[in-house]
Amino acid sequence: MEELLNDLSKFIAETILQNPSRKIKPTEALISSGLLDSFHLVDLAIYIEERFGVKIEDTELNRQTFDNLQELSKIVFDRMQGK
Amino acid sequence: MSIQQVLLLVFLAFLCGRVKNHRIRNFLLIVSSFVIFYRFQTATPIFFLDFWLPTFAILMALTVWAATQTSLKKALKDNLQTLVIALLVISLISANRYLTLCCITATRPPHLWVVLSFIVIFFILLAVFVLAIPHGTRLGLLIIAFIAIFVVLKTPEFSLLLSKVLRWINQQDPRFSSPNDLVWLGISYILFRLLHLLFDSRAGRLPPANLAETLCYIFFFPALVAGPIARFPQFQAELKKSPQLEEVVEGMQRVFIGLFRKFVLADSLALLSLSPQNAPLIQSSIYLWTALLAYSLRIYFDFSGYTDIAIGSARLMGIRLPENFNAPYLKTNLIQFWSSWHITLADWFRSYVFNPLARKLRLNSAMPSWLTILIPQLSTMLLIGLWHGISPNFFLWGAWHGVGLFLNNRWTSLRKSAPSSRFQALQSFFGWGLTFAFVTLGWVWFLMPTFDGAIETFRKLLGFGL
Repeated sequence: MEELLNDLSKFIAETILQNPSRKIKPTEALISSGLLDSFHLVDLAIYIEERFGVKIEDTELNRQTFDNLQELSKIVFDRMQGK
Repeated sequence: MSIQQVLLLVFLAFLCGRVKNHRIRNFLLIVSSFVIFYRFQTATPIFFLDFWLPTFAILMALTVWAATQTSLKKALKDNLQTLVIALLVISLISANRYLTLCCITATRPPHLWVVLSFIVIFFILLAVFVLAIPHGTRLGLLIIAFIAIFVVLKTPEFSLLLSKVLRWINQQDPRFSSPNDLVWLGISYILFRLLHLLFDSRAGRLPPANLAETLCYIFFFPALVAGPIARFPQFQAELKKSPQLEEVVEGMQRVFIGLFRKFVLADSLALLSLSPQNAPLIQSSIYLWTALLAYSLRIYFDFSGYTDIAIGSARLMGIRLPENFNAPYLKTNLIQFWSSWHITLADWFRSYVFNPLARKLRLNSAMPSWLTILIPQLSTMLLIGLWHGISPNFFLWGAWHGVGLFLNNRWTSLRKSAPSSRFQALQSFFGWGLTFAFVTLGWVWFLMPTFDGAIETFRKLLGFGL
């Protein structure tokens, strides 16, 4: 789970925000804070599907489903475990 | 909504919240929601339509629930009590015409035998529809039918045609037809909740739900008139919670904030606000800017006031509805504005239009990157515009925001690689001013019914043609 979280954090900082030095805390708000916009979320979902083979549905790309790295990692981790 | 109507909502919500038994509370919620629906539906010049419009909406909801079931026979057996209660309320409201103290509806409802015959025919057709057509196909057909109903109701030309047909059926003079004959309370929200249930059921994402929960969700009376559009799984979870007494205090505080915003701020600003009627008469640029600013603030306080009343009333019975606004006029860019204005509608369109379209285009490597951004952004905003009404002004308002969001996206992308500035506060202030001015100017498209009227208003705002 730790590895997964770091992987997602790196992808968001380097590819989405294009700021490799940016550190994203596990509980830092991603959507409600405006850090990620709608396109970022779609890119993130595509990356997760390609990298981990886990689908985040179109209806799940919102702050009700996840709003930080910890929540997102848990969803991906649970789905990878087939829960 | 009048203050009396708000008081009725608050009273009923408080009453529902005091019932501890979930099953009985859901029944009470259904009865209250139906009564409010019939009571708040305004009269129309077409005979009995103020009775039939809520009735059709309830029958549409029953259709969606029946169509999403895998075994109709078992579902009916398990939900017979709810079904009887729903039909009893409709029958009693119709039977109200025989009492001296008439009526719950705005005008005298049709005869009970007409209503009962109609319901019997409806159930026969519904049974045939559900039993004869496979699950996926019937959900697809309902999606098409509901979108068609939405288009007819939102297009003045089609509404006029439908009004003529209804007048002809009722043996009324079709020459007096008007699109305003079909003012259907809360239908934009009801149809979007129904579509959400159909889309998610089709994708296998809808959790199992009984009829009572489904009817409570679709017709939940605090959110009937002006939303917000909750998502079913979240609403279902809220319904299963037990209300706490301290939530009453929070709920009442929120209702008071809503009353202040709607009846003090919005209604006072209405006296100053720009309108299609006063826009051609204003001959001073400064006065026109003031009137436009008043409109911009008024539309926010009016809508967010209604939302506060809805959220506050729901809290009185321990139900947390999603927020619809998050200080949108304080945002420093348009992307943030659209994450904080009419949030539940924007989320609905993100889920079912923007995200699937953007995902498909982003995976298509042959398409230039800027086009994969422009197409979903513009089409989503055009549809959000047309949700308010299918007419050129709402189309232009949607296009204005679609292009604005695209430019905002490109600018943000360009700025990503730029070093962070020492003048961050100044940049934020400039961003806020630009965003507020853009949104406020955009309201000209929204409120002026014609293109020429909007252009003339823009000219006068810039000091031309005075």
